[in-house]
Amino acid sequence: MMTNKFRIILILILLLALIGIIRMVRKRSIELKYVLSWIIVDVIVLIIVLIPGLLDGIAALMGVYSVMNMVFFLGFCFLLIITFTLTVALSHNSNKLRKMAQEIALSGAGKKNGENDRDGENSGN
Amino acid sequence: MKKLAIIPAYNEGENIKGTVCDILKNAPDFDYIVINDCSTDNTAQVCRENNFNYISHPVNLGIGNTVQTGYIYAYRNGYDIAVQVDGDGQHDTKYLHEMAEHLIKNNLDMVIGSRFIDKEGFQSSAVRRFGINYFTCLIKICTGKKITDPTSGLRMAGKRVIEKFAKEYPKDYPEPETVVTVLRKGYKVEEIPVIMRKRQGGVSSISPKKSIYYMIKVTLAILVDILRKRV
Repeated sequence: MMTNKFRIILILILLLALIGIIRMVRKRSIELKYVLSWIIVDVIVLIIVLIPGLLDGIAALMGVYSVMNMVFFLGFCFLLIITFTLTVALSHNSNKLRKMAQEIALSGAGKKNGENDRDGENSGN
Repeated sequence: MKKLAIIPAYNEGENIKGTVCDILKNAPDFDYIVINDCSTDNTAQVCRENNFNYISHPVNLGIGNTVQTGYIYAYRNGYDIAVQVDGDGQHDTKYLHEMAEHLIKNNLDMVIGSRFIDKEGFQSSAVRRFGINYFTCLIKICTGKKITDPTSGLRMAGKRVIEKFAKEYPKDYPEPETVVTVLRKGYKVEEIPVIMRKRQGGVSSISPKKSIYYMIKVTLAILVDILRKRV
């Protein structure tokens, strides 16, 4: 079970995180598409923390003895889902990047040589 | 009949001139294109100074994508035949004629230059040969066709294969995987014996550590290919 003190600390952390995320989206430094999962997780955890009996209820429903075990388990699942989503997004992005780089290279093919080389400028890759 | 030699180049400043001149001398009926994969050395400069036909990736994409850029170029410019020639001097360009003739005469879709038919010239190390044999067996099981040198980079593609590769080509270690893809499409692949030289400079892209990744990745890629629908 959670003490009230810990509950308040948790609520503060979750609210701060939520505000932080939303601010970043507002400033467009991150895409809403990719933080949607984080916002949902934040809100779900917030609801769980706010309603005292809820967690015990879910644990009993799922047949989990210890509430804390279930918290860890759910957290683990959320993280896996988010990481996997990122893997998929990364995959798509690298595909798009490849196509773009190839098109840029090929669009230089018709021109006179020399206009299309960019090496040396960005040596790290 | 339009023929193209694709020369993928990453930091081949020292070898690129030799490779291009080799093609101009030994295979004058071939056009060529150097694909500079954002080299950090003077590859682009050498190409520019010698007025070579070349294009440059704006970022480094790796060997698979570099070769694919070459196939896209071949496809869009209506080439009937495209051959991949590595920039490191392992491949002897005098075989290009023989390969093209073989491809046209037998109406093939792909011709692979194999080191292991006549077993002449540089034969690679025992460990590598073991790996190559493994892929030969795997491909034989999966497609029923015996390819003695599935890792050979000296390969010539006909029109249908150019189109296929332009659309889809593996990112890294593409050789064995693409053989399977092409065979499973029902295309005709044959090998001719060639003699390869020991690489003339630089190091192989496949270090011992990477070779484990290589085996696992390529095996999985082949198995995944088999799970795909036959088209």
